[in-house]
Amino acid sequence: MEQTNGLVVCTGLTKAYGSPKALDNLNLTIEPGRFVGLLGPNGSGKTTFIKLINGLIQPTAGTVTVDGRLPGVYTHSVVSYLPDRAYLNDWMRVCDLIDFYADFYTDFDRVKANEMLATLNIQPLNRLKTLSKGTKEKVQLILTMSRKAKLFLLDEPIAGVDPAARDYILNTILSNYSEDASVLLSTHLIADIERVLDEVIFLKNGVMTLHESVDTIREEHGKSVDMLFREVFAC
Amino acid sequence: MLKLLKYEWKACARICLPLYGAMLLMSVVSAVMTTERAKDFMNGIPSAILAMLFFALLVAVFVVTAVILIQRFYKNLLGDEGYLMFTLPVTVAQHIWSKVIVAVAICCLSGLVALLSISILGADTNLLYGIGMVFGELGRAIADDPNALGYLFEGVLLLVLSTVSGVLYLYLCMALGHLAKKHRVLMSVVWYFVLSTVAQFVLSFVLVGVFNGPLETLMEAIAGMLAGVPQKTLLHGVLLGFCFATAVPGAICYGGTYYVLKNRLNLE
Repeated sequence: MEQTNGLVVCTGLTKAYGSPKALDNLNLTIEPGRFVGLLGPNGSGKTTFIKLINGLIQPTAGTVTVDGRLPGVYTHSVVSYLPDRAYLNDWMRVCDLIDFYADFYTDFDRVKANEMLATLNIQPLNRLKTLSKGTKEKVQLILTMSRKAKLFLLDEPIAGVDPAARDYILNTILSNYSEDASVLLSTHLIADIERVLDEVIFLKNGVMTLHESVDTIREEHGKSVDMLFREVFAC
Repeated sequence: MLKLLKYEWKACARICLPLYGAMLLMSVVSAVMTTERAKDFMNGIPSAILAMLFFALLVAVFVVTAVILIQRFYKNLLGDEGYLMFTLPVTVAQHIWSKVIVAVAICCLSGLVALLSISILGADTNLLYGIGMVFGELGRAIADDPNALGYLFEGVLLLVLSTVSGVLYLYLCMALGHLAKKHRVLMSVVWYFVLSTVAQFVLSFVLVGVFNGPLETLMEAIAGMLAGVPQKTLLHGVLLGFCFATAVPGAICYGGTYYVLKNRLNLE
């Protein structure tokens, strides 16, 4: 068997929902300690890819491994995942959720979570139901980032949040992941996150069209990721 | 596993316990209002309304139990909340069992609450006396013949097992329904009827076989073998046999649900 030290390794990863494949023969490796942007227009397979890494859907063909293992109990314990939807129980209070995370994830840092909640003025006793959409997303992001995971999978983490909070959140993400952890962040708001990215993956109709470090893109193409994106995906 | 059970219980209890409380309170109020003197008050209209409310609540307890049973599995595992549940470092088996255990507990509690509230409603000295007698008889029977305790135990086991199997059956239908690309809820219902029909068919096939098919000779052979066995042992055997017969479809349903959630999970 091929030995790699990549954190995420995909070989021939394919997922078909219907006739057009959502993800077609994806081969890539993400090294530890990288901040990776997963970029592509709507429906290009970003969420599908992230769900496959989490084992929430099963690949039609090929495999994906995290830290050398197929998605399962072990990978769940080292992956911190922020889905693109409201996935929390509405009737729970914010502090209940913190208990929930602390109960299930041994790497959850309760102190850190409470600090972030305080900074963003979110009351721990509020029920999730009473919070606005943006605030809910902030809570979800705080919960996700308060873990000391090896891999953070963030699916559209900043789309519904106001620009001021966006900066804070990005800084939070940056300051919260350790040296050997990687972040895979999907978004189409490239300009906002470009400065923090190490490398980017472009997805187009389920096919990976580009996987390069940001520095290389700047040197070779002489343009920013945002500009390159607009060019590659021009309608 | 214990943590899963804790949260599952919390989620169910926050709906069920208030309902149980209301049910018991209602039965006390109704019991008071159905006394002779209360019936004369305002031509008995308040008592009639209360009685209706009582039965509505009784029905509600069962409906809510069924809804919670289904909703906790469907929403929590196969809906958006599945994104959280299935990314917890927990095995699929633990998910299913935590759901089953709490669901069975809720079913049993609902049954008990219903029984209790009905007995409160009908409570007078006669009823209490009657209940006392039943327990007295039971105690005496057990004292006379330790086998009675065994029967009781087997009866309870059979009841629990059939609830477990029933719950797992519903889970299997939902798990199969979620495999469809569209109309997942509808497909769950379709699966429910399809599987029920198949089960009915198999059952009737077996029954027909018992009385005049090739199974008849087998049955006769078994009957011949059992002829010498004392009646008490036979009763134990029959009860345990029923337990086994309900456990088997339950195990099949569990296996199916486990397979789907483990290998065919496809959250929208």
